[in-house]
Amino acid sequence: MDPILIGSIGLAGMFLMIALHVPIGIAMGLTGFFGVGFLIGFEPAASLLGTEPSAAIANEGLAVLALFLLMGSFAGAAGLSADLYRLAYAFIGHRPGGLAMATIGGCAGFGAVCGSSVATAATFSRMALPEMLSRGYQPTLASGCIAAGGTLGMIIPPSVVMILYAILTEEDIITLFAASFIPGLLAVVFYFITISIYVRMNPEAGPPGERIPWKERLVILKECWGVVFLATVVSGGIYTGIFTVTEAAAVGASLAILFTIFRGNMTKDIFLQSLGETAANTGMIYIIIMGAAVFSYFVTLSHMPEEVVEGIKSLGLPPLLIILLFELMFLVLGSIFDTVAAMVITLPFVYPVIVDIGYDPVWWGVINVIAMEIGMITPPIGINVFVLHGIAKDIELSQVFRGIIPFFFADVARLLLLTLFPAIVLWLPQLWGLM
Amino acid sequence: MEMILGLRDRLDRFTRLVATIGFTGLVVMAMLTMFDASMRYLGLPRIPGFSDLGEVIYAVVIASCFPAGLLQGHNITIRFLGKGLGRRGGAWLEAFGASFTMLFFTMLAWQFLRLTLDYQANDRVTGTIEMSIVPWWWLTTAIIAMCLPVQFLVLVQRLATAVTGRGEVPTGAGM
Repeated sequence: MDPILIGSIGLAGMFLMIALHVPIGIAMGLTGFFGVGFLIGFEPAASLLGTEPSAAIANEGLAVLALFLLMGSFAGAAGLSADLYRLAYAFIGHRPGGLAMATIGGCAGFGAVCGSSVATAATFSRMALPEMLSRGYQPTLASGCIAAGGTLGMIIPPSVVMILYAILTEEDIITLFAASFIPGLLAVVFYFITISIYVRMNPEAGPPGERIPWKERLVILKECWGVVFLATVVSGGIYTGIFTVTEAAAVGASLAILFTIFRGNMTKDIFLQSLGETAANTGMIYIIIMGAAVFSYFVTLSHMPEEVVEGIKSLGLPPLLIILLFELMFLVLGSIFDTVAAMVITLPFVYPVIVDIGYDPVWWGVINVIAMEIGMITPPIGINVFVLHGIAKDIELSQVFRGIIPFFFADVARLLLLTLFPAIVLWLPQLWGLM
Repeated sequence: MEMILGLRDRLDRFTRLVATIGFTGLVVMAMLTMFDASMRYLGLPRIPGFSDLGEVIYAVVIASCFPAGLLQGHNITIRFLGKGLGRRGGAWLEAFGASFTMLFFTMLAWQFLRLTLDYQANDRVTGTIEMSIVPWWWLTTAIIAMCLPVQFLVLVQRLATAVTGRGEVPTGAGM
């Protein structure tokens, strides 16, 4: 049988399995197994099911994911997220919409020590949402800024999704981290501008908080040294070349644990809960990675990526239009599909096209993550919205989605800016001699 | 159903224990990695063959989270269709998904066993300090094999829910 036909049947079968509640990683793994079986025989397919997953779980480079997740869990347990929020509030909380801006600032800072979008959204839903509501913020703005701010965990390094992209495409993790630095800062700036415009048009949405005197601000700044230290050691260690990425993740995890202990927050329950949370998230990601490894092998054998590249080439579309269509595809996929899975499934097809039309894969990694980040707040799935709604059930889903609209447009504007000017993304890695 | 729930409780405690032990190993590895990196930075003697340790320990650590993850349903699953089909329809789809997960982990355990037997037959050792990797891979394979009774219980429970209409039907999506 024609490999392309087998590939197409396999792909259709995988989507059918996913629709029928088969976990995504499992559907990918089984599709890969049966696909390879039909293409080159079931004995090599069975071997593949042993070698690829075993290589994935024993891979020290991949362990960086588990270590960053561990760091994020203990950073939350140590109270570092609360520190960040307090710090941001002390400096900008007195402005109209200041608490919402402090939430965005806190999310950005927590993203730098956490790496997970969902964890960031969940943490700030518990902490910042009651605070904003008690100070008279409208639920739409309060919930919208948390759901949007949560996505910063995905773009601000170290980002778990960015690491996954780097591993799957064999790009350098440090280069990707450096490339996502300015887009991450731009996200914060765009969100600040959005909140400013929002409260100017609707002042009751985010009334100003009380002004904290400078003396008190400095005391808070001093008390928050822990989170600044952790973020500096991890990011600084990576960018200066003192640590490898795995070492930086291990150092970050160890320091987060030590902070939890020395701040007196470490109880048996906290320890077990943090380990349980890390294990659950690690397991979910690894099942996807194992399935993706087998699936990618099948996709490569079927020659489908080459066909996709040729097919797109034959359309004669300008490269920029292809990129914009991909972005639109990821926005739609992100809104109806799990974002990580959407990236992993499409990567074997999209990546060769990006390289073929002459765009930089590092730049695409950032763009891809931003497009998925927008998907995380886009209906009907928008996972961050559901995380927030799960924690604050009294806020209607429709209110959260209404609150997200201005942030959605800010995200789209940022995505277009970075698409039209790739130099913004690539400037820092080039400056640091990483490219 | 009560017997299943009782068994599930016992397995839940056991699989959580396995994950806790495994991820305590991750904490230890993190601390050792920090120590090793600091020693390298300071130009002091490093832990001999430390990278070899990572090669075998990470496999055990990562494998340890699968049994608990399967039992607690920590998987990225899209549940649109189930929501559309109602509770009973969703329960049947959950049973369908659980059966495919069972199939995948059965094949995985089988292949891990073959791989470990191959390592044993060839006396495979690590690259630097030539430590045998065989015991570690037996441990990893044993943990993966542990996923089979766990997932079988999940499958039985899902089937029981689909047939009787009683019990919990997962509704969440994503991670």
